[in-house]
Amino acid sequence: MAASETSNGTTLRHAFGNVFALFILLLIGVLAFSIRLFSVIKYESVIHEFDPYFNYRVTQFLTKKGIYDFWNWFDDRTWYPLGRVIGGTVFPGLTLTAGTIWWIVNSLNIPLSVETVCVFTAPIFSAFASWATYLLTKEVKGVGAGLTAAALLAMVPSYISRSVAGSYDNEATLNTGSLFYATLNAIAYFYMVCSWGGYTFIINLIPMHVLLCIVTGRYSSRLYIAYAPLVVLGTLLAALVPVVGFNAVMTSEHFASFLVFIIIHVVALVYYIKGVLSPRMFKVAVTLVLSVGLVVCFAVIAVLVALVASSPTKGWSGRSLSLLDPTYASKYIPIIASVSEHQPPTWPSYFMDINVLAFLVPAGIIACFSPLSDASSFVILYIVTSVYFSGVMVRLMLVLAPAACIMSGIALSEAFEVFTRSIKFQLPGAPIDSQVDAGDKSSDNTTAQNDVAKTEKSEDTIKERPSRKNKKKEKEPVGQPSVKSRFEKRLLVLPLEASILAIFLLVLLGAFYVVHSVWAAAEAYSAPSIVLTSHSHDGLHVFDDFREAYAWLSHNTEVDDKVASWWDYGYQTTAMANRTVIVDNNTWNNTHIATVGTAMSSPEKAAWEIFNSLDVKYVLVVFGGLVGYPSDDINKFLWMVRIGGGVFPHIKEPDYLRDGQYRIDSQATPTMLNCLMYKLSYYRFVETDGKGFDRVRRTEIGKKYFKLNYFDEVIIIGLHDSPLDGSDIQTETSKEQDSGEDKEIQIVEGHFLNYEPKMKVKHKLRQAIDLLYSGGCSTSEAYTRLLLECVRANDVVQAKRLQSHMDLHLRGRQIHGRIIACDLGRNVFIWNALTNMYAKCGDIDRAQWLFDQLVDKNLVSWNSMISGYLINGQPDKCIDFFHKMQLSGLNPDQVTLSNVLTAHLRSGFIDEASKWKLYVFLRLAYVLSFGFSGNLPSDLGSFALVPVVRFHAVMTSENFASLGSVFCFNCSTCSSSSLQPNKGMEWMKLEST
Amino acid sequence: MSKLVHLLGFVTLNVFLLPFLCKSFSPETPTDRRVLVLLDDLAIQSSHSLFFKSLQSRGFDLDFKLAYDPKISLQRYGQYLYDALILFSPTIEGFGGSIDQAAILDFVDSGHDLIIGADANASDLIREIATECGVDFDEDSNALVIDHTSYAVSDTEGDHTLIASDDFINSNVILGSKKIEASDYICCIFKHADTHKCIQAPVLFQGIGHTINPTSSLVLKVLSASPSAYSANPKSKLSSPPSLTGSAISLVSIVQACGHFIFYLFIKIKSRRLQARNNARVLISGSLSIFSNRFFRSGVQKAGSAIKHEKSGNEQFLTELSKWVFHERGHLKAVNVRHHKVGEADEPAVYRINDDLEYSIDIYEWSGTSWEPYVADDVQLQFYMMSPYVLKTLSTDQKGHYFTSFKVPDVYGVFQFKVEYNRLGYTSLSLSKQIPVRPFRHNEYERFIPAAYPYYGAAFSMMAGFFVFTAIYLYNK
Repeated sequence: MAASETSNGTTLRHAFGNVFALFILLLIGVLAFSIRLFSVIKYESVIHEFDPYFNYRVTQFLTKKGIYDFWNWFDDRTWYPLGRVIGGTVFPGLTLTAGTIWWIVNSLNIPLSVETVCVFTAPIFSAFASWATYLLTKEVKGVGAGLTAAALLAMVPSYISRSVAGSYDNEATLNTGSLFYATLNAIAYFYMVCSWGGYTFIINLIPMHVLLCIVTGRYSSRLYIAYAPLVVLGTLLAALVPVVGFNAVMTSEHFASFLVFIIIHVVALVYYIKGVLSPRMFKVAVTLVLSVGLVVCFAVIAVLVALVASSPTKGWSGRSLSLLDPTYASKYIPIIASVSEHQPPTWPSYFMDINVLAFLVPAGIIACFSPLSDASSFVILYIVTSVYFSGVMVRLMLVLAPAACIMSGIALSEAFEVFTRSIKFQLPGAPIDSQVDAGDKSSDNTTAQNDVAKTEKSEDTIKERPSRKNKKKEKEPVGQPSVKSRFEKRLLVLPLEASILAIFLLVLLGAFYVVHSVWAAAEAYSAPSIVLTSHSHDGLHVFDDFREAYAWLSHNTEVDDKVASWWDYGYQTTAMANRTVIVDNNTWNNTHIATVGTAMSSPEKAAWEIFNSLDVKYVLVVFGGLVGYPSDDINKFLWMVRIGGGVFPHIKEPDYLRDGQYRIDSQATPTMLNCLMYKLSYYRFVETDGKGFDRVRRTEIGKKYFKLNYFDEVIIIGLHDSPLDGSDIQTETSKEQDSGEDKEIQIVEGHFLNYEPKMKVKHKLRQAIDLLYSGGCSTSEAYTRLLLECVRANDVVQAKRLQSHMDLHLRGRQIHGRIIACDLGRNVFIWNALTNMYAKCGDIDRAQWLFDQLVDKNLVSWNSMISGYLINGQPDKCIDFFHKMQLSGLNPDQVTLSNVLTAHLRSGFIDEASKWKLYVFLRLAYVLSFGFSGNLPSDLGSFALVPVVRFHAVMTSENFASLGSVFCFNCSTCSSSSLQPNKGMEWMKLEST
Repeated sequence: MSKLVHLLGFVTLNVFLLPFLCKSFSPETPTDRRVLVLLDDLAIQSSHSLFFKSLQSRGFDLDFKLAYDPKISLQRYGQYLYDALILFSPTIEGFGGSIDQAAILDFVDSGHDLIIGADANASDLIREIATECGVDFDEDSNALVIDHTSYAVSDTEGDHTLIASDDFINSNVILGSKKIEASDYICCIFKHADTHKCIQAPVLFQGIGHTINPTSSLVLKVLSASPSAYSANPKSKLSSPPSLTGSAISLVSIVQACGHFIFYLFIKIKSRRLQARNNARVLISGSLSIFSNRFFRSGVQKAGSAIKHEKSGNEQFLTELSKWVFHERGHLKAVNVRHHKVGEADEPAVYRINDDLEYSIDIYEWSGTSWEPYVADDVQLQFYMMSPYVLKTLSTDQKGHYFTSFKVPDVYGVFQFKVEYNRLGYTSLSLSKQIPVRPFRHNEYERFIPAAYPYYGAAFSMMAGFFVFTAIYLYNK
């Protein structure tokens, strides 16, 4: 009776516990998702980093063209003139995932843009990752540890730094696999291979674990079942990914797995023979096999060594080699070393990234050793290797983070368990004591039960779990002694005060961690690199110069123009400016990158020749010396020299260094002062403050006054006279001087960009505009600047005032660029103004394009197109548009009609006379019917007369007479007093003479 | 309201007038029409009237102005008023109006033609303009070209500064053929036959010599001095060896610019976009009197030669040369660039490696009045990606249509069809058209390769064997 009651109570408690755990997991998922949304909330929903733009572009292509075109995509926009076979050189996992999400969401009629999907893929996957961590840790140390680890992972800063919303990068999916690595799931491995080059970490970690198991005598048939199919299936599947292909069996990174594959077979054979033979026979067999086996082993090893030695990079790709030997990259492959992510991390970055976890990890390791199981040995192996690798590359901090979280989760939950137990034991009252005992006992049992239930639920994954059997084994013996040793435990309990204090301290530690993580998520890692911010005494300032630069390129250069820049900006230029680039962030062709590096570090003429041979029209240089933006091209320049020098020996690094120091002041070497990068960066720099003081390098520049002979400065984006000490950036796009091209120099200066409160800005704007009208210094730049200010301040009235002037300037395109950069989207007013502007500037194609983009077209939109076509000499199109407009249910107004009438007249010269006569009559009737219905404003009459009168003027005399009379008659009978036939007749005479 | 009416009227007016405004120099009709002639002295207009008349008779509209006239200007409202400029003002130190050295160079830069007639005592201004064009006059301002062996025999012995030179450039395009009545392009057909000197009589020259800048490949000597000539002051005794001697001295030179004029004199450059725009041609002569009626009419006998020509070669030489300078000859255009796969008509956006393709182009030459087919057998096409992967000579149908076909190389990337045609005296054609070449799609490879059948067999027999083994193992206990 009592027993059944107890069991009843325990099942209930377990059901409750499960639900509770589920609920906590759900909350952890929400937490993991939402903590990564800081950047979206603080800035906007855009992709912030450099590299992910490639993934974004590829995903866009995938969603637009479908999977087959994606698979066969030859991209001629990058790596000019080599092009890039995207389908064969990309890890497709992430792209396919995002593409699938987009497709599912869209087929559910939830219209999300690809960009949005890309931005939110990473947070979603981080939630998955924390769940995966839970599952993995649960394997090792039970539910409590699992939950703690998941919660820690959900917030770990190092993981945030990569999977932060918008950092839509491959690594985000790393941790979806972590359970599956543990359970050795080949499909997960395949997904991993699809997603990230880091899969080699896993394919080496697993064999190591297996080897460890074998060496420590933990071999079981389960281990064999788990491992052997993984190697076979995993290798087969990996070979299906085009970018891996035969590498899965050809490169030495994968050799470890095959070697262990052989070993595990040998071991399996040995075990089998051991079972079949008698011990004595077995001994004989062992000696026999050992002697033969040693010989064979040596032969195989010799062959392997020979094979590895014969391949040029010793069979290991450069990136992996630099993992094993941290000094390898900087010694031999500057292109790998040049990426800051591939540098070894500094000590503070450990504390920054994993914070208190660093202290908890050792405790976790100790906890894992007592008792040591397969799962915990895997985790130990995981943490040890990942600590090593993270010490080599900053980027691999990401691998460390989950391992550290698992360890700390274990450590924390163990510690809590100890403390809470000691508190429980010391609380007064025997019944409680016995109940606790019962609970204790049952909890041990139920963990096992739980496991069984889980096994049933997820058979397929559990089946391959090597640890299950062992765990069961381990749990059972642990469970029984625990009953026996309860009294021992009782003796081991800590003093009550000490436990309470310790718990308090642990909670405090956790709180610190949470505070730190949230801070890191909100401040340190959410700062996007594409939008820059700065704090000053009057608040936060956002600079959007990168996007402005790309928008400028997109709107002011020819579609086929090639843009040269250092490779960091390659992906963004193709994705955002849609221009062909010479090199981008993918590093498959060292020579090509070296060519650009050489051009940047050559004197102007040599550089021009290189760029000319590559058909480069524009050179993009990012310079932060004016405002103190440190990661500009001058600071990256030594890498350009090194990479260039690696391929072209005439570029020598010492030529750019004065006594081993990199400097740009008057002590700099002449080679440095004459190279293209220096010249492009500091061209006219001295004009900004008169001294040429570089705020990043904190020195005055060495050569201040010089001319560019082969390059033209086209545009500098960035605020020259910014009153703030903001971290603002100056982006120069230098155009190659191409025979006879006029020098275009536009400097957009920020006179009004004080970012004051809106009302104040509006007031200032009004003053500025008035000044502009009265003063007469109306340059197009001034208009541009003002208009944009109006737009920023949402001052539509003033903008309209300016707009009427603006459209006379061809510089409107630039405005358009900036409007797009400001992301003003689909504001109908602005859209119409732009359409109108393009139409009047003669760029009717672009106007048409804009018009097509506009969703809610209004009368003004139509009118601007109609008049646009008229102005551009396409009256047929104009009439066509008029019909379309009527079909769309809009009523024409006087502007429309006047334009359409003129259009009919114009096209009349092409058509037969009778045809257009009819048209004109019809249209006349149209106008007049409007007149009757009173729809026309008072000045319509004269307005409508204009084309009619002109029409008469070009007609022969009879037609003139007949039509004119009809018209006058109509006019005179028209009830609307505003129609003035007399006036019309006057004009008629005027024009016909 | 009335403003609007005016505006509309203006727009209409523009639409009608625009074709007429655009009628002048354009890629469609490259011959110059309006020529500004700047003179030191209006007397030159009559003393050189034969030359001017020959221009006027060919339809040029000459506008004679004194060089120091304060009203002259080359452009108004940013539009050039003239298509060509003749500077017959060797002594001018500063032009009137808005014209200066920079304005003239800009004029040439923007694709207009120029004839410079310098003379003894040429001013620094003229010298500087010439220097910018790539020729250097003798620095001694009193120097003249003297030739004691090939001077023109005259009544008085003189100082041998009147030279009879027949050392012409060997080009029918620039100097025309003798059969000038026949159309020009016939001459071109035969130009690869044994070329004969089209101008027989020597040209009379009296003036200063110049050298051409050796780094410039765009300047050509049209009329060189004989090896025995030198440049010195005939009035004074030679104290040191003359700086300019022999056939290095150029008497008359031409410059054909393609691209940015001043800039690219020193670096050869081809730019497709500007090729159409800038084809400025410049004629620089060290003698103004070479254009004069006196030299046109006078007979000539070269020293040491028995033949006495009734009439000097000046008239024919300069008429032909002016035809070249004013684009009546040697001006090519390439149109109708087409390429497509063999057996298809449409131009694809991308080729695949190993595709067979056909390429064709039409080349025309301007004859002064119309575009005539240009016939040659040395037009070459490059299929280019950093270096030419395919280089083929185009076949021609003798009617200006050039074509070829070839197989795309087994390399993917962004290629260009490039036609670079640079021939002496002709406009240099430089066309390039970008075309990507993609690799095979994944389903374009052969599915079953005969050589791989053993492997297929191995794989399938393994599967079958495994199946049989499993069946036996499981059910045969």
